[in-house]
Amino acid sequence: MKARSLTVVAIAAALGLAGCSSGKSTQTTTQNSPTAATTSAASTATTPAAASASGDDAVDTDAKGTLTVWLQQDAKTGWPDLVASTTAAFKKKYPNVNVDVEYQNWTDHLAKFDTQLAGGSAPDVIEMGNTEMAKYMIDGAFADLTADKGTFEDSANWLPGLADSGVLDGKVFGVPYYAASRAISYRSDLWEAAGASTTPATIDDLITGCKAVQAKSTDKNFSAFYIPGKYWYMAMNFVYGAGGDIATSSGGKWTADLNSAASQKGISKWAELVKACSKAPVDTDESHPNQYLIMVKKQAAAILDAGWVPGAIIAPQNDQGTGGDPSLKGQIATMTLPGFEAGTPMTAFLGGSDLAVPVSAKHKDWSEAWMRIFIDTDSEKALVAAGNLPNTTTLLDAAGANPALKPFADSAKNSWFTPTAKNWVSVEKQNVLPDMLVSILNGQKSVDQATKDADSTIEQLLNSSS
Amino acid sequence: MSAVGTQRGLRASRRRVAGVVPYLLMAPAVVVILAVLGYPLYRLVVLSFQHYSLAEIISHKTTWIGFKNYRDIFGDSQFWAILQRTVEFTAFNVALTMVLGTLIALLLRKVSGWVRLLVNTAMIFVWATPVVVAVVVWQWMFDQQSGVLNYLLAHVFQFGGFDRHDWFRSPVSGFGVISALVIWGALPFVVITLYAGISQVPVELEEAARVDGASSWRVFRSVVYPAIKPLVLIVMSLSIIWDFGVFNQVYIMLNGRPSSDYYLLSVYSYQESFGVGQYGKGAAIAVVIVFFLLVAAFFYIRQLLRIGEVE
Repeated sequence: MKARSLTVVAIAAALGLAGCSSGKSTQTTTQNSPTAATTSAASTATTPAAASASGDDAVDTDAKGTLTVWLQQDAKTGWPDLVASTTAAFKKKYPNVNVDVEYQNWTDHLAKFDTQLAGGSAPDVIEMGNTEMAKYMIDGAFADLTADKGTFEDSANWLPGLADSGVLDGKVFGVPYYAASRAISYRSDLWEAAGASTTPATIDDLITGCKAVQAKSTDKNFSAFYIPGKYWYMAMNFVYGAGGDIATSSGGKWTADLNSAASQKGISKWAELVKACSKAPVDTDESHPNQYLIMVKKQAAAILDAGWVPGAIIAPQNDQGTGGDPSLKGQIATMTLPGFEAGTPMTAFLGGSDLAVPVSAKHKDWSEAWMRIFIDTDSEKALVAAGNLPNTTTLLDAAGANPALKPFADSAKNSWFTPTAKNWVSVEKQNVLPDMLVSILNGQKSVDQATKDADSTIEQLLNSSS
Repeated sequence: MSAVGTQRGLRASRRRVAGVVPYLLMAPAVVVILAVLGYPLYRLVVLSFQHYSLAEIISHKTTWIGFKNYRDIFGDSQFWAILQRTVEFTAFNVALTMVLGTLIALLLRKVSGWVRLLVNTAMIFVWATPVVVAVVVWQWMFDQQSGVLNYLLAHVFQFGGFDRHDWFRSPVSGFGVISALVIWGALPFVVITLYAGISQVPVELEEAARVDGASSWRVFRSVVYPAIKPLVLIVMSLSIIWDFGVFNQVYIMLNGRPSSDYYLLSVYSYQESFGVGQYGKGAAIAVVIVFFLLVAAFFYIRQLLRIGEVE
């Protein structure tokens, strides 16, 4: 008797153990966002342009339900007032629709989105990174917004590099939310003390300058230009700046191009800069730790990062311990990363976010109405004030008038973008480019060998049928 | 009805009830386990025979493709390399866990009461530390730039080579750190269980063996080990099951972006599923993991049954 009941328990236990480890890897149940937060619609609307942009001021009291919006944490920390005022303006037209804004993390929002799609409870509006769009558009995850493009304010002047990430075969599946490009934030006091040029014409001038800054310091953790080894977006700036490419497509077949002479020239120059001026760990990337924190620790005299960084470096300490150092005020300046030829800045990666409506959304008109307000001209001005680049060329020129933002606005005009292949995400997930860079910086492989190996992996992944 | 008849009737019904009660008592647990673990496991197996990626998630339609996912992974040299790595990782960790665990358990018998209390307390703290917290703490300790370990090695013990040493540059050294973390986390359970077993070994037996001139090793092999063998087998089966499924220690330690050199089967399955969106293939890999775990679980159950028979 005892032995028999023990059998059942033991089998159940074994199933439990096996189920645990397998369930962990492939669970497909939906889960609630731990960071879910409902934005209150208490504050008053500050976007008068919203209603007119939609072309329909009529109040729709019959619409009842909930509109679920997924935004990234950036909005919660950077521009919560804009989210609240957008919802307030939306409620004027749809007083009986609740808006539920849930904040997500970049690292796992797609895994969550997949599970919610499978469970049939996806959000009605989702923020997508521009590099994340291609795969989801190709697989038909988003509603076609082409016919309504004209209802978005100033959509005729959308920033081409950003808006293109939401377009597939001429159809609009995502609208541009904001752009982000990277420029150099540097310690003007240290660069001037070392006699380094703060207006370098070419990348070689920059290397000469940062060497002088490096020579002034005896701290072996100090970098004149902090560049973590896995910072592949930066290395690829050099590849495109030298006229190279990651991969190109022709007739549906992808050909990797990192081993070309131009691409190799770019990567070699990047490695030269890293070796001359950076003491950053080879095996880390630009977000572990966040680069601006190295500036705050005074262990870096320059970093290549986004437009909000100069403000973050001098911000007072906040309760999360992630603030900056106000004593550096007046010592942080910005410049564009110079290119190979005088007068031509290095080609820059244009990051940013789009907003899309998943096909499962029940009320596309509600989703669009909320998005129209959230990315109208007044909203974009608020985004610029928070250190982002706007979604239109009209506003980009205005942003360029601000000297602190000018290097960022300039670099957004000459930009590159990741290959729009369905399987590009596999290349990113397998760390092909960071691993390639690490092997070069460690001296494990020559530039020629490392790029050749990366090319073959990239071609295999991009041309794989599954 | 007479008093005797009533009693006889009561006894009979009690026997009938006694036959049903254990099953009734077990039922809630069985139902929960079937719902929470059995069903997902069933779904996992079903998924492994389907082509299930983003397009299928969106359209809610799936295609049955038979054994194609399995043929794909078994035909992929990367899978075999990862399987080999996982088996080696498991073998290394289990072996070291068992040896260290046994040694510490033996040591605990020799030390004074307050040292035993101290060691036990320390181990309970290790045991009580959630895995995610432990991984993050270890990540800080091994940090290249500001980790306490590099600081101690380079500045206190003056090994200059460890200044800004990158522990994760080579996968061998990286897995060394991960193994240390896994073993550190597994030791408390092993030590406490084995110590409980060892303390049951009658002292007279050992003394008798020593009087007969047996060495310490001989005493362990011939007297202590036979007594704790059933426990050792159980603890070892559990360790195999745990170490084969290690995920957090790799995934979190490497900031959620492990290079393919660091893939274990569990990480590989996760990356294929959630990283790349090939849920069918990811499920097939997970089924392979389940298969290996069932083998280990078989020995575990067999041992449990044997203990039941002895009693």
